[in-house]
This record gives sequence, C-alpha cells and structure tokens, in this order.
Amino acid sequence: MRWIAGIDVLTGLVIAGFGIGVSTYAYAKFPTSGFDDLGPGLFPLLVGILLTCSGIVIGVQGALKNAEALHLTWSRAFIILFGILSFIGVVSWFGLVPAIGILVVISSLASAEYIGFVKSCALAVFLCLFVYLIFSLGLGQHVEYFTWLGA
Amino acid sequence: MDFLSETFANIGFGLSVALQPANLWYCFVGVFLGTFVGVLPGIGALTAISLLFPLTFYMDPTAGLIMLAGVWYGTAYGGSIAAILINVPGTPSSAVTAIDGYPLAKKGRAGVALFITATSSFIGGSIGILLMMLFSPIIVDYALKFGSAEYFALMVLGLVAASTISGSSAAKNMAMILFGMAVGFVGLDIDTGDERFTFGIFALQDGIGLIPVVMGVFGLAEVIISVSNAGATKREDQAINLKSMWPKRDEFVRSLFPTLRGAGIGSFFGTLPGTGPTIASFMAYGVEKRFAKEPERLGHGAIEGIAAPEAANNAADQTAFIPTMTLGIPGSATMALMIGAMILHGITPGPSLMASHADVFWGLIMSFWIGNVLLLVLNVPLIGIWVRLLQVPYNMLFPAILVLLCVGLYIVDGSIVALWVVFAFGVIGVFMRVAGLPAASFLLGFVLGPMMEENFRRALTISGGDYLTFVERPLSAVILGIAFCLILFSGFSGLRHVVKL
Repeated sequence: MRWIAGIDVLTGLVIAGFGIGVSTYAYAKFPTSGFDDLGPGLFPLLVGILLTCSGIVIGVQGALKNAEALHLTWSRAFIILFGILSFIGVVSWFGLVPAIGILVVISSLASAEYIGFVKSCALAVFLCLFVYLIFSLGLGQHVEYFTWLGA
Repeated sequence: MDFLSETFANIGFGLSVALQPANLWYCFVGVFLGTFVGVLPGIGALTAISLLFPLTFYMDPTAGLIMLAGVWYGTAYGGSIAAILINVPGTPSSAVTAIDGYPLAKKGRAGVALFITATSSFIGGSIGILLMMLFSPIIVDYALKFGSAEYFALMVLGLVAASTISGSSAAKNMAMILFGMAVGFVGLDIDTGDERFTFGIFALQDGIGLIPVVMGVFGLAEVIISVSNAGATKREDQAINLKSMWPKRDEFVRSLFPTLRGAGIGSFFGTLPGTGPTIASFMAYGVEKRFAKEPERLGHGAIEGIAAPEAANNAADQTAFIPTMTLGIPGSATMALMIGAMILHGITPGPSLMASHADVFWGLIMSFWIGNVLLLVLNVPLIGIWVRLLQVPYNMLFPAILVLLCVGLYIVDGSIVALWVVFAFGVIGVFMRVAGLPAASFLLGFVLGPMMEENFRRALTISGGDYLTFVERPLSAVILGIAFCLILFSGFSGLRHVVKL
C-alpha cells in the first residue's frame, strides 16, 4: 500500500469539485425546499451530490492503490489541438480551403514519422477535392471555399 | 399461427424497405466503411459513426440508421482481420480473436482463420437477427404497459449494470455517467423553460449538441491518443486467396458447435445493458476453454477459439438493438448514438416505434441481414483488398480524419460554436483516457440523462412528490431491487479487492 497522490486522487478531486459545483449551482439558482420541489433544480442537485460521492470514492481508492496514468507525448497532442484551433480561426475569415490546408500542414507535424511539407500539401489538396466531391457535388451543399475576412 | 403469419408479413415489409435502391446503397456504404475502419487499428466504430453522423442529416431516417448500423456491425468483421493478421485487434470486441487467430496466421493458416471468422460471424449475426425479430414484438407488448416509474427504474438498472459489469472501476464508470448527465443539463429546462447551466451564453440555450460532443470525445481524442501513443506493429505477410481460405473438413466440423454456442452466448449478452459484444466474445471464449476436450490447444491456434468469439460478438451486435429499439434504452455508447440519430430525425425510440415507424423498425432489421450477406461477400472473395489496406500509413490517415471531423460539422452546422465544442470535448476526452475514465459511460449518461430526468419528474408529479412510488409499483420495485443488488455486489467485490491488497 503506497500513499502517493496518483492520477486517481487528482481525478477524484476534480470530479468531486465538479459535483460540488453542479449541486451548488442548482441549489443557488433554483432553491429547492428539500426534495419535494419537483422543479428544474432537483435532478441536477441529486446528480451533483452523487457526482461528489463518486469523486470521493475514486480519490480514496486511488490513495489506496496507485493507478498508472497513460503516458502521452504531450507535444504531439498540443500540435493537433493547435491545428484544430487554427482551422477554427481561419475558416470563418478565409474560407474552407485555407483552413483545410493549415489543419493538414500543422497536424502532420504531430506524426512520429513526419511525411514532409510537400507531401502534406499534396494531402491537403487531395482532401479539398474530396470535400468538394462529397459536399458540393454529392450533397449539393453551399460551401464557402474562399472568402476574404469573412465578407 | 397468427404470430407466424404476422412475422412473415413483417419480414416481407422489412425486405421491401431494405431492398429499395437507396437503402441498399447506404447499407453497402455502411458495412464497407465499417469493415474499413475495423481493419485500421486506432479508429473504432464510434469514431466512424461520429464522422458519418452529419451526413445522415441529408438522408431519409431509415437510410441514415441503416448506414450507421452497418458501420457498427461491419467493424466487428473488419476488426478480426487486423486481429488475425497483425495481432492488433481493430476493435475491442475482436481482441479475443487474436489469441488463436494470430498463432494460426503464423502457422500459415491465416486464410482459413479469416474464412471461419467470416462464416461464424455471419451465422452469429443471423441468429441474433432472428431472435430480434421474434422477441421484439413480445417485449413491445409488455413495454406498452410501462409507466414513467418503470422507465426510470429500467434506465437506472441499465446505467448501474453498465457501470458495474463493464470491467473498469465501478466508481469511475458511475462518475462518467453522472458527468454525462450533468453536461446534458445545459440548456432550457424541458418543463419550465428555465435556463440551466448556460451562464448567460446564448449559444448554450439549445444545449450542447450530441454530434460535436461525440466527435470531440471519440473522434478528436481518439486521434490525439493514437498519434501521441504510437507503437509499431508487425505484419504476418502471406498470400491470401480463395484457395488458401478453404478449411479442411476437420476444421469445419470443429468450428460448427462453437459457432452455435458462441451465437447463443452473444445473443444473451448483447441484450444486457453494459455488456455488449466485447464481454460476449470473452465469455464465449471462456466457455469454449472450459468445454474443450483438449483445452491446451486453445491459445495456440485452435479454430474453435476463433469461431466462438466471432459468432458471439456479431450476435451481440445485433441483439443490442433489442432494448434500444423496443424500449428506447441504449445499452452501450453506440446504441446511444443510434438513439441520438433517431431523435434528430424526430423519431421517438421506444415501444411505440414499431407501430408508428414500422418502416424504420422492420427495414432496419432486414437491412442487418442484407448487410451481413454483403459482409460475407466483402470478406471472403475480396479479402485481399483489406489485407492491402493494413499498409495505409497512419501518418497520412489521421490528418484526413481531422479534416473530415472539422469540415463535416462546419458545413452541416454552419457555425463555429460546434467546432469549439469539439475542441473542448476533445481536450476533455484526452484527459478521460489519461485518467482511465471510460468515455463510453460518459456518452451513455449524456444521452440517457435527459430521458431519465423526464421520467423521474413525471413519475414524481403523478405521485404528488411521493418518492415511494418507485418502490410501491411492483415492476419498478423489482427492477430497482436488481440494480441495488448489483451495486451491493460490486461494492463487496471492490472492498474485497482493496482489503486483499
């Protein structure tokens, strides 16, 4: 038995904290008079309380038995998330084609075996064509492929 | 006799729907894509279904469901191809197949293993469909008598079963189900129209959409995890053609009864909430190991070790639809998505579905059969294509998945909000994986939460706020009693586990 604050203790704390948040919000916004008010606040209150309990159980179990956290190469995860953020930023200002381009070029960098800039551009072009085929030709959707500053 | 003629009439009607060219085409697309993502390790059925979800907006609901369902059972076929050839199960439910499938492939019998996989899957799937056709009308008859208290009790049982049976820690499962419910609170209250958990943000008034949540938690998070946690795999290269697939007489005979036993076990576990195809396949394998005349052969390339779990997981894939379609209560995350797809098309799943949308109900069931026949064709003569597919490099594939994830949603939804939801739930999904929290339970809670609250409040309103209504009604009391026993049981075994350490 090792008393080390592992990932489970942290998880338990986060979940319990979230549960307290949910039940407090429900109680503050919809003051329930005990459990006989059947209004909008009752169910969230109950769920929040149960959530807090399960968070505590996870934390206690984690304190008794240290679980292994899944190890990730975080830099790769951040690159992909940055790619998605770039897509969101670019798509409404410049349209779909630049957004696809930037998403593919950035997220390819996350790979363990980088395919190279030229290949990633080629992949982006291929995917733009693919999207055009499916959504414009296939489904007849109106799609903003290029735009300037959202105009 | 009456029952039989009715069943045949339903089969005929279902076939007439499923054989419409559009439905046939989407069935093919579904099973094809299902096999495709099943073969590729790293993308599961949920990711594939979430990618295709936006497309179903443009389809007739029956066609949309047929396609999504095809993806779901198609992955079971595809998953075993990867399990046998590279010892990496493409889907969790084919993990057991790798135990005997990979040794068989190393002995040069990969072709036979694949053939038995396809035929056992087909037989298992067919038995599952048959049971669904026979039992659904009976269950519906009962279910029509259910009140809100019974529905609430059934959902509690479903969620408790899902969190105590499905392997990982019961507390973690429960926490994720509740977290899913909490996310489901966001939006306007169903009864009073009060804003809940919107924090004054206008975009949150309609609630958080199912599709962006699924795409975040399963699509985006899955891709991030598999890219950031990559391990190399080794292929067993061998030529596979029709001739090499033909089993010897002895192999064929040995696989026959395991297939039937597996189908029976799978059908049973498929209907139970929280168990599903993965547990069914493990159970079937365990049973074979116990009943085998030479148990030491299993694990070293025994054909029975493939036949039984493959029949089981495909039977379970089909029977999982029984509670989903007849009661409107999903037993797994994928079934929760099916329910989501129906609701988006304005179809209320539940006992009235069979009467009000008979075309959806029987069309879908008969499409399962057509889909399974298509899968048999796709998997036996065309196996070479899938074998080659295993060579597609993931570093080209994952940017493509990311693009489909973002573009599909952006075009359909036309707003940036959904993309932010994908982003946020992608991050949450990654943390769930890191902390070992089951994301599938989260989705189950997210879909079931609003239904549970509705029935909970309705039952209480009818009883005048008396909580005893849940135990005074006999049926609801029995169901809640079973749920309570499950909690006690898992609590005890959990305690024993901790004390032992």
